[in-house]
Amino acid sequence: MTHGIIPPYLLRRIARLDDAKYAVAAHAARVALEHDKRFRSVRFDLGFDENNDLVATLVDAPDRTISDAAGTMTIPGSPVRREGNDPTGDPAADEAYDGLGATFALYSEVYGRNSIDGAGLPLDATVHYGDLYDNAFWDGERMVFGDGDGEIFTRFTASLSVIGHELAHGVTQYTAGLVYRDQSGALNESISDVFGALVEQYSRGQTVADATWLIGEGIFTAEVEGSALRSLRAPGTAYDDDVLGKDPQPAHFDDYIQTDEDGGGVHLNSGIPNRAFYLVAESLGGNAWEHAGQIWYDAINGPTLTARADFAQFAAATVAAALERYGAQSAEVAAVIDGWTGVGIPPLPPQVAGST
Amino acid sequence: MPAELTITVARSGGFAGLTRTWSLSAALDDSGELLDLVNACPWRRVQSDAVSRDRFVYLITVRAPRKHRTARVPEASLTGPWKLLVERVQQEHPAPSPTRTPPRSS
Repeated sequence: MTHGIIPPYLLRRIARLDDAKYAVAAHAARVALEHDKRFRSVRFDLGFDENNDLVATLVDAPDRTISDAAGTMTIPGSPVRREGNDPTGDPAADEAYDGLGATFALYSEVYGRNSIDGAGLPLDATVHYGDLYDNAFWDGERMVFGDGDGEIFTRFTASLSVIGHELAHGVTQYTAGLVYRDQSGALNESISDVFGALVEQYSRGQTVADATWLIGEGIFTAEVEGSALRSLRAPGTAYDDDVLGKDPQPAHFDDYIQTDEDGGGVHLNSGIPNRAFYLVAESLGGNAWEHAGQIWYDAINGPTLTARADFAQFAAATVAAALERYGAQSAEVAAVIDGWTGVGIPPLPPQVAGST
Repeated sequence: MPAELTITVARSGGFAGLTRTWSLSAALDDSGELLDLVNACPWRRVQSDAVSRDRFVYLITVRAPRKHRTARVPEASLTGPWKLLVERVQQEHPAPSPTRTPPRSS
C-alpha cells in the first residue's frame, strides 16, 4: 500500500465523487476536510487492497510549526518551517521539527493519543531563543529551545529525549496536572523524563537492554565530563565534572533532597520515580514503551491521581493501572510493586490499591 | 571599612536543574544608581508563574546596612527593573561557575 499526503484541492475533488466504487474514499475525504475545518491535522492514505480496490484510511497526523526567535527572547518569533515543508537546513529548526514528529508518533501509534491534548493540538516550537541561552522549556503552549552557551551546553534540540521531555510536560498539563512543586513536581518531571526516554527508544527501535536511558545525551560540550544530564537507569551517575560537580540525583527515597531551590528540587528528586520506572521496564524486558510505558500512561490518565499526588499515591495509581489492564496475577503488577519497593516506596497490596 | 551593598542572584531550575550564582558588591556611597534600580523593583508584588515548566527561577537578595530584601522571581516575570538588575549583577561577575544545589538529605 502506498501512502501519500493528499493536497486539499484533491481531497475536495475526491469528496465530490459519487461513483459507488469510490464511496469509501469520498467519505474519508469528506471526513478529512471536516477535520481540517477544526484545525486538526490528519493524514489521508490511499492505496489498493489485495482485490485491487481503492482503500482510503485516515490517520492522525501532527501539525507542526517551528519558529525562529533569532537570538531574541520574543516568542514565538518568525515561522521557518510548517507542516509538510522541506527541511530548512538549520539543524535546530529541523531537529525540533523531526523531534515533534517522533513524539507525536509515540503517543499516536502506541497509546492512541492524538497530540498533547488528545484532540490534535498543533505542535509549536521556538528555536534560537535568547543569546547563549542555556535552557529548554515548556511555556504552557509551546516548546522553547536555546542554543546553549557553547562552553557547557550546546543546542538543546540535539537530544530527542529533551524534545520528548518538553512535550510530555504538555501531556501532563492536559492529564494529571501535577503541581510543579515538591513530590508532585518531581513526579511531573519524572513523567517527562520517562516519556522523553520512550520517545527516543521508540524512534530508534531500542529494547530496554539496548537503550541508554539517558536524558539530554549530546547536549554537553566536549569540555564536560559527562554523558548526559540524567540517567533513569542509574540516577546520580550521568556526569561528574570539575565545574558542574557530580550529578546530584537520588535513586532511593532514603536520599530525598529537601531544598527551597528548583521548586523543592523537582529536577533532583525525579531520580527516585525515574529509577522505579526503569526497574519496572527492566523486569518486564522487551520494549519499554509497550507495557511499562502503557502502565505509566494509564496512571496519568487515571481517575484517582490528584494534582498534588505524592510518590506513594502515584505508585498506587500505577499498581491500579497495571491491575486494571493486566490482571492481579500478571507479571506487570508484580513488576510495578517490585519497582517501587526497590526505590523505598512499597505500594499497598493490589487488592487494597485497586479498591480505593 | 565603608558600608557595602551586596546583591546576589541565584538562578535555579531549568531543564538541567543546576544552580548558578552571581554577586556584586559596591561601596554604598557609590551605589546611588544601583539603589534606584533596587527600589524600582516590585519586591512585594512578584508575579508567579504556574504554567511554565523547566524555566529558571531567580532568587535575588540585596544586603546593605539596615536593608535586607529578597524575592524569588520566575523567569517569565523577569522584566523591567528586575531584568536590568539581574543583568547588572551578571555583568559584574561575568564568568560564573554553575554549582549544584547542595543536597541535604531528609
